[in-house]
Amino acid sequence: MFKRILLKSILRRKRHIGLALAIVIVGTSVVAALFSVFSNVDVKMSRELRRYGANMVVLPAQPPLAGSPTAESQISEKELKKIAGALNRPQVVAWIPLKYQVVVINGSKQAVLVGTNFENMVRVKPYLRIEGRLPRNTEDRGLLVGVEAARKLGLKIGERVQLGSGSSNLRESQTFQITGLVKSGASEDNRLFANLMPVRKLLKSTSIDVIMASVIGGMQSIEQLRQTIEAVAPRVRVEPVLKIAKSEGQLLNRISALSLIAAFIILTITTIAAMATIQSLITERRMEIGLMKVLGARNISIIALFASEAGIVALTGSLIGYGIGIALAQIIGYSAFGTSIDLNPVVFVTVLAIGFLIAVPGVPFFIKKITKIEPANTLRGEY
Amino acid sequence: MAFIEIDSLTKTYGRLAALDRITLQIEKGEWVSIMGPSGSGKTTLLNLLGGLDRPSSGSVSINGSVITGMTLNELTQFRREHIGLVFQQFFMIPYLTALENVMIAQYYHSMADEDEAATALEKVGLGDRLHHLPSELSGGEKQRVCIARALINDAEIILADEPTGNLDADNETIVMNLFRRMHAEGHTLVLVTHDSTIGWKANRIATLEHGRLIKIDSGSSTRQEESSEIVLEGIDRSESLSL
Repeated sequence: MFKRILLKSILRRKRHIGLALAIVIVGTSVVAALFSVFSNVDVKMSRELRRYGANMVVLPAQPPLAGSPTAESQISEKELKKIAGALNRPQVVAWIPLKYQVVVINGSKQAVLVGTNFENMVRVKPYLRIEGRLPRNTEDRGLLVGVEAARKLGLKIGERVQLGSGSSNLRESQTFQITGLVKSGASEDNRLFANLMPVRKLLKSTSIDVIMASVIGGMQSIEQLRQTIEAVAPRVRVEPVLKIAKSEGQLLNRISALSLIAAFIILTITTIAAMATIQSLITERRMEIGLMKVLGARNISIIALFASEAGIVALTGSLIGYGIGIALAQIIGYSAFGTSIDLNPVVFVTVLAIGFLIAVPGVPFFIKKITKIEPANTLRGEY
Repeated sequence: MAFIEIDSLTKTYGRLAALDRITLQIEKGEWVSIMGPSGSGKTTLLNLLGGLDRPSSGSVSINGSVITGMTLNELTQFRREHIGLVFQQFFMIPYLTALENVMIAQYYHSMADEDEAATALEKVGLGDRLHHLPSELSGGEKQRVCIARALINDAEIILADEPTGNLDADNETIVMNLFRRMHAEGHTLVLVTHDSTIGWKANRIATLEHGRLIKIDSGSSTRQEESSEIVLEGIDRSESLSL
């Protein structure tokens, strides 16, 4: 009979149950959406922030003196291999070796040539705007010329240039073909970029000057990498690009705090709304409660009925709210980060718990109300 | 000792005495009407007899049990086992059918029995209204559901507060015939009314005024008269009903 009363109470009071369900659904769906986004935001935002360039550099322990590179002021090929192993981690989006050298162009003018890995360069420096194309493979003697350098040197896409190391001695020169122009609004506009391998051949040196890496996970992740790299290559030092890494950390913290504050406010509002609804439902059902008492129902039986109703509303509302919340999270994911939001079982459990928190906030409150209802007064219409 | 012993029963609300030292004995199987003008304390007395309210002083004992000394839980248990209540308003659970409204009394008493509940409703002429919601029943039909519910657990005492107050003449006749039948079957009836025609049908009439019992009269009813067969007037049933 208990199940029958419960079922009829739910099925035949659709308007009231619908109102209570709506409150739970609104609360849980917003919380599910926020928590799902929140649980993904560090990774998603971190990837998003990688658009602003590298946030970690690996430098030789001893800075190079102008014009006189030494073994100590360079990262050797052996060290590079060890560092490459250390950088082979999921939190490293991409990294590039960089070798800088002033070169002579067509035997007369000078510019800074940068040897690097083009495939990764566009990932580490996604802000670069390239006209033309990148050199095809790591051995291709293609050349990417900064727009300012191209203007000053009068270079055009498709043109072949002789690059000579050191002075104007063209015996040490090699021919490169300009495949594209690069624009960043920064120092890249004045540089020439070529594949590391041909640059090494040109300069007859396998060492590099610096490594730039794009790392997700903020300062904590960079610190972990620093320890690993400095352990395998003690002669180098790892430094975060503070401006970017710190901003990233601060931004993530602010987003987390905002998400939590928003969730807290919504929960508070929905809990108050739920309590008000329960209050009005109990007032509305005083006659019913009074009648049950007249018929011999003990307080515990009535409380069990109301608590079961609230439990069913909480469970149903939470499940629907979770579904809607996940859908909302995906919309937010695609619109803000261009990717889906991963499902997190912790969010599911949290949403269920919150659903019960919203729907049964006043279990002690309505127990008190129910036990205080006196059938004689209630049936007389005196509340 | 009488079946129901009311001794110096007083109920005050602040300075106002709703009931003032009422003393009354009611025998088992007796039908007593409580009469009096509005505000005379009739309903208060009925609520105290049904354990729905607590007196300020005095006592009520039913079949030797002093109900005014019982805890709330004991009172609830006593009420569901011994007392059937019928009110002027047709109190029903709005989302349960007529059948379920009777079954709920069984459920809180012991165990719901759908067949038994259906039989009880058939006996009050509602065999074709079993699955109707209260909103689909007329006032007279609702009151008959309430009577079936009051009788379903075979309560020894039926307390009724203006049971015909909201009924038209036809339904009043039907309901009063049901009360006569209950009385004939041996139930003790205490019926509150301000209608002398209704009150006069009892064995005795206790009249209250300003919370005091001012007189006790004999009514028209005797057990012998009512033990004869009673046909429910106005109910479309060819057979006579026996509750």
